[in-house]
Amino acid sequence: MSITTENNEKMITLMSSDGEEFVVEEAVAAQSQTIKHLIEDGCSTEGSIPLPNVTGRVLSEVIQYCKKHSSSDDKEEKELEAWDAEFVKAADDHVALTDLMMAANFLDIKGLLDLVAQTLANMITGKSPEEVRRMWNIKNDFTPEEAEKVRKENQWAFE
Amino acid sequence: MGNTLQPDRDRLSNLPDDILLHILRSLNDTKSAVRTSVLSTRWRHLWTYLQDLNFDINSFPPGGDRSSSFNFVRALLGRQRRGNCDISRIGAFTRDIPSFLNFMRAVLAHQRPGNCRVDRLRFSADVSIGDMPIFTELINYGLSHGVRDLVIVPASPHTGPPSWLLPDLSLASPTLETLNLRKFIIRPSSFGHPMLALTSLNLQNVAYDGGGCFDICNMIPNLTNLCLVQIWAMNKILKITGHKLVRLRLVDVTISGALEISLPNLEVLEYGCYRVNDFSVINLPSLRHAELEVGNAEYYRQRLLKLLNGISNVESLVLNSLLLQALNDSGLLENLASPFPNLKSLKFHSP
Repeated sequence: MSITTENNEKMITLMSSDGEEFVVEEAVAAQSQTIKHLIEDGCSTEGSIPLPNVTGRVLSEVIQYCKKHSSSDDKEEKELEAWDAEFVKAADDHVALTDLMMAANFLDIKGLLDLVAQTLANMITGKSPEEVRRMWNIKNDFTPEEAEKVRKENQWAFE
Repeated sequence: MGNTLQPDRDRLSNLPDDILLHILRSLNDTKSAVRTSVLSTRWRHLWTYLQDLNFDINSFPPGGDRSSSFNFVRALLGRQRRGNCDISRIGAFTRDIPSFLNFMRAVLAHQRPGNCRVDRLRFSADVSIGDMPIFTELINYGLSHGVRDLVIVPASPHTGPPSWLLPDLSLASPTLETLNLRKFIIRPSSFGHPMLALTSLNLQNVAYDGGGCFDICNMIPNLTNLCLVQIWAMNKILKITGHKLVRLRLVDVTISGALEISLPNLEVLEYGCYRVNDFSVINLPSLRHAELEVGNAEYYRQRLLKLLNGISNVESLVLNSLLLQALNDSGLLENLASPFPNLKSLKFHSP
């Protein structure tokens, strides 16, 4: 698509897996290496760029992140950090975070991927295995014998 | 993805391996990553694919049976301390060093799946611990697994003189890109062959024990970034002459011989030495930014003059107030051949 705004900023349209369309500045969308390459390969000239792995709900959050990060420069690093913290807080239910992680991975947005990975890691840090299982609904599928073996095998990590 | 109809599903474990490994990598240390192996069969072997190993003494606080030394320290701290008694080294008692070393040995002994590389290997402790064999094991492990980024800082910056002899690192010359070491003794044999991939070197509290000239860029020709803090090379000449070096930081460099710096592409220099070094050569034609912090400027007037002449191309300069005062009082500026014709920014900072 080649709509341009009054700032002469080139716009492109992204389409989510559930058919929602988002019109964004090319510079914002190009925060995603995946989209950037699609644009470079000329995939955006006709219609919109389909993103079959990302729902509209997740895509709107991703775009929010990309907008913020394409408009800020290095001098605003502190402010950006605070914004990032608020951003992941807002997405702070488990479903949203794992979806965001998958989207960041598919769209290849390194900053977002690192940010969400760190958030998830912080949620695991300092918790007992039981607490982590409860938090994430992880089913302990070891047989009692296996569980004992694994415990023994890695005893040194629990000292 | 985005199927919110099944809120009870275990979404974390359902993430693909590479994403879970990204999360494990974001944990503070390798211990937390290994601990995920007991969660479920999905997680059991996941950590063994980690390409970043981070051994940090801080993840081994005292606990259980081992806390007697901790209680001892607590009792000690409960007493009135006299004057400004230094407690900075008390950390040694409040960490479980044996468990830390056991843990590390167990991880190193663990068979890695396939040809899984170790990309980054870090060992950090804020207390002086370990013995030579453990560092040799660690370094050899990294070298044999194609390590790219090696960090071994086994002590706080101020705990005693360098004490461990650095083994030959040039086995890793095809892969090693960044190296950060503290408290080691370097001999010429530490770099048996040129390390061609290495571009960033950070040495702190390191002594050079070799021939009359410590020539870093001869051993590491492709360095772009060099940081030397608390370097001891008694009765030696220190030579830094890399064509690719862009950033150089020299802090507390103690050499009784001369310092030879000839770096055609250096852009940024940070120099902080109480005793100004004796520069035999200082050639920095591309220098754009310099930060200087020196102590007894008046006493080292001639040496300072050489240094200031050597950096006269800078566009921005940061000086400490002692140096500023010396410049004012001694008329040093008048003696400069061409006092900073390109200067656009000048800043001062007080101690």
